[in-house]
Amino acid sequence: MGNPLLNTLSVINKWCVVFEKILLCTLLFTTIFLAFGQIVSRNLFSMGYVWVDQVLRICVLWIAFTGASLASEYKGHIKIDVMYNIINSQGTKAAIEIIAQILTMIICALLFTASVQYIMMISTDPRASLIATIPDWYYRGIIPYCFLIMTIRCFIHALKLFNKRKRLKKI
Amino acid sequence: MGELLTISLTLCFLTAIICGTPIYAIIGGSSALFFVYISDVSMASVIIEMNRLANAPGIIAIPLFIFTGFLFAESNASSRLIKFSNAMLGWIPGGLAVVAVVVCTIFTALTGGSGITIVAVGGILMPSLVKDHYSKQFSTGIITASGSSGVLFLPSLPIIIYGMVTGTNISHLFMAGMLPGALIVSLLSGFGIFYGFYHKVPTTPFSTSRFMESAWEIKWMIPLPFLVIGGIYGGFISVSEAAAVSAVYALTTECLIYREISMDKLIKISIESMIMVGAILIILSTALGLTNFMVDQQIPQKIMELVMVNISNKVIFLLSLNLFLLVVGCLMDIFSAIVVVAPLIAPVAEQFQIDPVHLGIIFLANLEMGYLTPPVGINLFISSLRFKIPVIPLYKTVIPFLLLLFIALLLISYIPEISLFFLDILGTRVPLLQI
Repeated sequence: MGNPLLNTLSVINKWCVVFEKILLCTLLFTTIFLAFGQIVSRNLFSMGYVWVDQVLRICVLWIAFTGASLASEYKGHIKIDVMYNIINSQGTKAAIEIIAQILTMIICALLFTASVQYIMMISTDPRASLIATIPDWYYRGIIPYCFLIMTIRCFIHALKLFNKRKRLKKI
Repeated sequence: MGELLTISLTLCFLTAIICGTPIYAIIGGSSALFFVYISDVSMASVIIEMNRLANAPGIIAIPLFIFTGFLFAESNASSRLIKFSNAMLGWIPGGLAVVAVVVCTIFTALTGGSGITIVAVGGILMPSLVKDHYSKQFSTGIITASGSSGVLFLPSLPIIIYGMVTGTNISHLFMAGMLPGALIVSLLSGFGIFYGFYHKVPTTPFSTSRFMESAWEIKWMIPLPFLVIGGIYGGFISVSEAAAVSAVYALTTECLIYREISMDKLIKISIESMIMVGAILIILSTALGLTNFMVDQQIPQKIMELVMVNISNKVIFLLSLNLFLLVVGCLMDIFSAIVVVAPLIAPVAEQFQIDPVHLGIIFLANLEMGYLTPPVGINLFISSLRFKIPVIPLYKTVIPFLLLLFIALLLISYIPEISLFFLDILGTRVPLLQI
C-alpha cells in the first residue's frame, strides 16, 4: 500500500475487527442464555430476576453498536444504491463511493463529538444507574467507540477507493 | 440566513442519499444538525434519543429472530421444507408453483428479508421449476414476487419494527397480518395453479410413503411455528420471549439434532447475523432522534393540516397513501421506510378514522409491493443478480404478479375487516376515538 498512515490505521482496524467479532459472539450467546433462562425461571420456578432484563437491554445496545461498527468494515450498512446499480463505469462507481465514504466519515465524526459530549454529561450525573452501582457511562461508552471506529473505517475505505481509482485511471 | 442553511443542508443530504451514503448516517447527521441549528439544543440530544433504543418494547426480539432466520437459511431447512411441501402439494396442477409461494413466504417470515429468500431458496427452487416445465420467465417472476409475501406473517421483523416505531400492539399486528397475508399467498398460488392447468405442466402423483418420509425429515421444524404462534396468541409468552425460544430451538435442532451447523459455521452465522442486526438497529436508534425532532417541531401536525386541506375523503387519502408508499417502497428498504415515514403517516391516518393496526398492514403490504415495482424495486435487482437475467426483461416478468399484488393491496386497503377480522372475533380491537 505504501501509505504509512493507511498501514497504521489498517493494523489498528484489524485488531478492532477481531475484538468486535469476539464481543458480538459473546453478547449474542449471553443474550440467548439470559433470555431463555428468564423464561424457564419464570414459568417453571415462578420467579424472575429484574437485573436480567436490565442486562439484556444493555446487551442489545452493545450488539446494536458493535454490529453497526462491524457493518462499516464489511460495507454492510443499508443504503439506497440506485445510482450504483444504474452506472456501469467502474471509475464513476469508485468516485461515487468515495464521496459517500467521505460524507459518512464527516457525519460519524460529528456523531462521535456528540456522543463524547453525552458521555461527559452523564459521567457527572450522580443519579442512580441502570444496574446497581455501575455508573451509566461505563456501558454507554460503546456509542462513542462505535462512531470513532466507523469514522476511521470510512477514512480507510475512502483512501483504498482513491488508490483503486488511481490504478483504474492508469489502465 | 436560516432558510439558506436549511436549503444547503437539504441539498447536501440529497447528494449524500443519491451517492449511496448509509441511511443511518443521513438520519443521524440530519437530526444532529437540525437539533443544533433549528431546535437550538446541544448536539448530544441526538445521542440521548439514540439511547432510548435499549428501552424500546420488544427490542430483544430483533437480534434473536434474525439469528434464528440466519441459522435456518444456512442449514438445509429450505431443502427439507421444499421436499415436504412438494410431497404434500405436488399432485395439484401447478403444485410446484404453489410450493414456491408457500416456501418463500415461510422463509421470508422467518428471516425477515425477502432478499435472503430469493438468494437462499430461489437457488434451489429455480432449477426444480424449470425441470418441471415451468418457463424460466414464470419461475423468476413467482420467486421474485413470493420473496416479499412473508412480510405479513409471524415472526416478521418489519411488523415488530413497525409496532415499536408507532407504538401499535405487536401481537395485534401479527394477528391482523394473517388474513391479508393469506390473501396474497392465495392469489399468487391461484395464478400458479392457473399456469399449471393452462400450460399442462406435468404433476407428481401423491405418494403416502414420499409424504411420510419428507414429514419425518422435517419433524423437528414442525413444532416451532406452533410453539411461537400458540405461545404468543395464547398469552403464554411475549414476542421477545418467543424470539428467545425460537433461537434456542433452532440452535438445538440445527446444531445438535440435524448436526448441519458446525462450530465454525455457527460463529460465522452469529457474526453475520449480528452485523445485520447492527445495520438495522442503528437506523432505528438514529430515527428515534429524528422522530423526536419532528414531534418537537410539530411536523406531523403540519403535514396533517396540509393533507386535511387538500384531501377530505378517506378513499382519496387511502389511494394517495397507496401510491406514495409504493414510491417509498421502491426507493427505500423496508426498515428505513418504516422508521422515517410511519411516524409521519400514523397521526394523519388517525384523523381519517383508519385503525392503527389496519394502517400497519396497509403500510407493510404496500412496501412489500414496492420491492417488486419497476424501475428500482430492490427485489428486481436481487433476482437479476441471482438468476443472471438483465433487469429490463425482468420488469415484464413481474407484471402479472404485480397486478395480482395490486388487487390484494386494494382489497386490504379498502376492506378493513380483512385485517381486523381476528381482532374483532377475539374482541381485542381497540375502538377509535370519534373526532
